[in-house]
Amino acid sequence: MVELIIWTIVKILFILGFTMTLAGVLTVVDRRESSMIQDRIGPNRANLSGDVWDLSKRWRFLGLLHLLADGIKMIFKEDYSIKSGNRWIHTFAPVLAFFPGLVILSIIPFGGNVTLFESSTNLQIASFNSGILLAFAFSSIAVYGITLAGWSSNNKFSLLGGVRATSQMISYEVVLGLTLMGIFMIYGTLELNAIVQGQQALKADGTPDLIFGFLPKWGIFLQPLAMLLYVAAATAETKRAPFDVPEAESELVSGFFTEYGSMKMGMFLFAEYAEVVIFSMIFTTLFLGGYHVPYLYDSGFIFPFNWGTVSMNPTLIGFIQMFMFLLKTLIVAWGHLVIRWTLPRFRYDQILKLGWKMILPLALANIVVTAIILSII
Amino acid sequence: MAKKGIVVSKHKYTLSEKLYYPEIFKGMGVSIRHFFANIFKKKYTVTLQYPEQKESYTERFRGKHRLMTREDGSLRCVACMMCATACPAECIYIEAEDVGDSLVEKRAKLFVIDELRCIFCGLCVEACPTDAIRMDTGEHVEPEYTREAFIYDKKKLLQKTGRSVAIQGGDSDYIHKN
Amino acid sequence: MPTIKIDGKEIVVESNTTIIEAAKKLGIDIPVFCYHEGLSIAANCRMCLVEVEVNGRKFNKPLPACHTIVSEGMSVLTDTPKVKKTREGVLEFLFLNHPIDCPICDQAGECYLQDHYMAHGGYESRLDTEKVRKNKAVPIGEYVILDSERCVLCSRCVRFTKEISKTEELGIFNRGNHSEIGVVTGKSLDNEYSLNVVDICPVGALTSRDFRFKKRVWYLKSTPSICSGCSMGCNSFVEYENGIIYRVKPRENKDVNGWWMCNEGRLLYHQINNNRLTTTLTKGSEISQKEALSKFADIIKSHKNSSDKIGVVLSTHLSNESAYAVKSFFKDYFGVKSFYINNKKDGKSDDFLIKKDKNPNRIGVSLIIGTNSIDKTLKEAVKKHETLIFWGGEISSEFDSIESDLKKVKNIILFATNKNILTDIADISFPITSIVQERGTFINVQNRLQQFYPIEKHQALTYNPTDKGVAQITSITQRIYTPIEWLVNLSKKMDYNYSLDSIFKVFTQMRKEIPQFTNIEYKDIGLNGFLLKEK
Ligand code: SF4
Ligand code: SF4
Ligand code: SF4
Ligand code: SF4
Ligand code: FES
Repeated sequence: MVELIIWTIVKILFILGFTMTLAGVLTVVDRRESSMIQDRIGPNRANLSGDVWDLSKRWRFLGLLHLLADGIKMIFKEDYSIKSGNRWIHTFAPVLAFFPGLVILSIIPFGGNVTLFESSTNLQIASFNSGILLAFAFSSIAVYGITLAGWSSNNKFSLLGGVRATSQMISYEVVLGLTLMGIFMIYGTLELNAIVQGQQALKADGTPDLIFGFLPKWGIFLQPLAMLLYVAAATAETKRAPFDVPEAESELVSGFFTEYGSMKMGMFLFAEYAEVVIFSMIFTTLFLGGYHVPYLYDSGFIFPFNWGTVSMNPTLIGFIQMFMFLLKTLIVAWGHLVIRWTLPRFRYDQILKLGWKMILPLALANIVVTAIILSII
Repeated sequence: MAKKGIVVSKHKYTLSEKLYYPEIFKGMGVSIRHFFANIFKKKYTVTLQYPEQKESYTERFRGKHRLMTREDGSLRCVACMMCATACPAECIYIEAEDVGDSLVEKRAKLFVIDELRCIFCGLCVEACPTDAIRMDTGEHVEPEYTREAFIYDKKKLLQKTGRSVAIQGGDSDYIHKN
Repeated sequence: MPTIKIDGKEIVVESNTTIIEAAKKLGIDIPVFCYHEGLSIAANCRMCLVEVEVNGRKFNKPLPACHTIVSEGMSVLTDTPKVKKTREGVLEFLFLNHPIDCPICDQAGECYLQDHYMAHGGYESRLDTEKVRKNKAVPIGEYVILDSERCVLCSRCVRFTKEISKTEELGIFNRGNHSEIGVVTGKSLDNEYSLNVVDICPVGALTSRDFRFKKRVWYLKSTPSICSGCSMGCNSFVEYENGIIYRVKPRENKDVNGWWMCNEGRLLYHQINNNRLTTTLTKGSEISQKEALSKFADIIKSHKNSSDKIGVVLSTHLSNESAYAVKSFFKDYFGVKSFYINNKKDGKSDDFLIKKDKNPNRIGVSLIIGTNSIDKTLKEAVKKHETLIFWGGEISSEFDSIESDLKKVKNIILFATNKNILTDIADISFPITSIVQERGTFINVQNRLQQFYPIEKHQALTYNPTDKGVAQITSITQRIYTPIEWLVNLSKKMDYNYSLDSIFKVFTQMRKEIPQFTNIEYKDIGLNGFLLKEK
């Protein structure tokens, strides 16, 4: 029992620490990456060396210090609170937007089974049967934070942002669930660890279960259409470009957080990046085989086409798998940022049309086709 | 006959454009190409690291104003108000004063330019009959903390002054013989 | 009555008309320097040369339009190549030694040389020797400064001192290139009309010392007005920018002042610019308008049953409309019967424009108040009344003798334009507009009804350039009202329904009541005034 509690605390600290750090780093990476894509240089001024004129002699750490500078700035800025509007809700809204998302972390398997100090555990905080449904449930709570923020600000831009966020997120929740239906049907479960296991299983005879003899049975290969639709729907859920109409700087000033300042605004911004990280984790879990390294099974590598096997220490495998998960997450997050800096913002009606008239029917068709194929096999 | 409008044919989307995803991947390809090209070699980046690096301006760049002086160090401006009249932003304010001699007669008691209102068109320089005002400092107006600080008076305008020996009044003998 | 043709256009004119007058009637512009309607004809500048044909025969040489009398069958050509060449030649000679001082010349913007050069000159200078130098910036009198280099020797100024002011201070000295205008030894240009030479000088040779370097003329706006310096009521233009008056110039009205004006009248504008009353005061210290009005209302109310204790003193600087409005307000609403006139002291006079009577509208105000009250003097008033309401703060001729009694009067209410001793004494002082800030009419010494117009902005007043470089115009914290507007404010305060709230309504009312005005429409007055019939 004590063992379980200690393990849980360690896992919570680890995954939370990872998510927060990554979200923080992403705020800077987002800016640097965008500047690289747009042929600029991006923020690189914050430095530790003080007043050194020669740029090459400053300790700038690739501009990462801006994260620190921003944090300090946000915390020390005037904590502005509105004079009209509902102050309590106004203060509470960022919390509501930020924390529910983090609960999702608890169901994500970020590694296989590891054994440390003679005690072994699955690198997943909690294993639920309902699994992914919990993620949907909590991500829908976040929309309340945004809607309430927009409403309580007593500002028409905020309200418009809030209303847009509501209708957008509610529409896309439906779509989001349906796009993943195929995955659940294939792996026959909602529990995420089971899904991950399903993506790289051994056949009953101990040989790897591969498509065409060499492709692991990852979601991305089995459900490519669902993958594309899910990326669209999930991006819409995170409210990032090209779906950032609730914020829409060019139309709504700053959308739902127009009336926010200091760390309260910081929380909205941070929540956005945390959501990106969580999205990446779920995407990795569902479509990229989670923590799996291709051809690495519990006993070691088993290469296809009978190229041979390499057996390995199970604990080492556990850590390699965890590392693999984090790496995949990073790459997906990076790709997500590339999408953001590639596509222009959709018009508002286009977003809803896309959700209801394109993605939804396609997702349904995907389910039907998957069901037919599954029943044939 | 009714006037015909211009017929603009609608762009016909190809299948891959209609599917959207291929185009997105193409776009992402461009983004990624720029990303990697810039992150390692700064291939496309043209940004200058201001203020450490500065672009040098052409000679004709119209910067901060300055007032010129004569050989004896006195202000060349005779307060004719040509610049103030030409100024489209109405940002020059001059008050004239009697010098009391019969050679120069008139000079500017106050000469004020509101650099915030100025649109740097250079018309004042063109209008000046005495080469008293120039915009050839090659400098921008510095940022200030208050609006008042942007109102440049004679003292500020003279900080970058120079001697001008341009002939005043059009007659070459005019200034030297007296 | 000869019929002549100018540039093909036919016109019938009186005999003895010059070509230039005929051309003016046709709207044809002939450039001039020396010709001035108000002066004799000298024909010495030759700028006005035109080609003349009589009965088909062309004169070999062009003739001066200002000096040539028309005759039957004459045909004048002002637009031929020869005329153009002549003009260019004349201008080239005039510019030969001209210093081209335009940047420092006060005439720039209204200079004949500039105008003509742009229209008819436009050549390059061919002079390669030195220009002839003459004296520059020489004060030749209290108000006038001479720059001989700029002079085109048109002799307008000389003729003015000879014919109009008859003082003969100026003359042309030396010969040829070296001719220049000068003051006759032992004299200086100090006659009462000396500033007129500044107006008539077509170039910047004679400029005003008062206006010197104050403003470039193209910034100034101009409004027709009437001089309030004496009872002559010379017609004038008030020239101003941003509510500050920079100069006053005579306005042509052959029946009143011709083209001229006296120096004193021109310089009167300093009073309008300076030392103005801008806020409501009580005994010289500031109070709010609201307070002042309610105080005033209380005082009047306290006289509900003793209206004979109120005396109303009208200044002769009030316009007819203001005077009438004041009178009807107090007479009809409060039954006040005692009205007095506040006359200014008589001053010097001459047989040209300056009149002894320094009150611009004494005739008008007396007409409105009615003759029976005219004899009453302020001396009686200060003894008789508990409350005296002064409309107009001019110091009257009787002031010295009544000053001590005036201080004993219980309530003194003053409506004044400028600060003076009266504003210190008065219990309440209200600022009113001066005549350049309102519209109204005066009756001058000839019994001529003349009107003046307001300048664009009611602004004003003290002009303090600061070292900081931004010129500051003392801002007015309270709006300055015209007398009629004050009456309306007052009636609102006291809940009266006062209907005469514009000068046009007042004027209509006046026409009903005052026989001299019966046949006049406001628009008949025009810019030249309207001669009233003697009663
Ligand atoms: S540059 Fe143009 S706007 Fe600026 S002061 Fe000169 S004339 Fe005025
Ligand atoms: S145009 Fe030249 S001389 Fe004239 S006022 Fe301006 S700066 Fe002075
Ligand atoms: S007189 Fe006329 S042309 Fe001569 S300097 Fe003055 S403005 Fe210029
Ligand atoms: S001073 Fe003026 S008015 Fe007199 S002669 Fe010369 S140009 Fe004519
Ligand atoms: S105007 Fe006729 S000669 Fe001067």
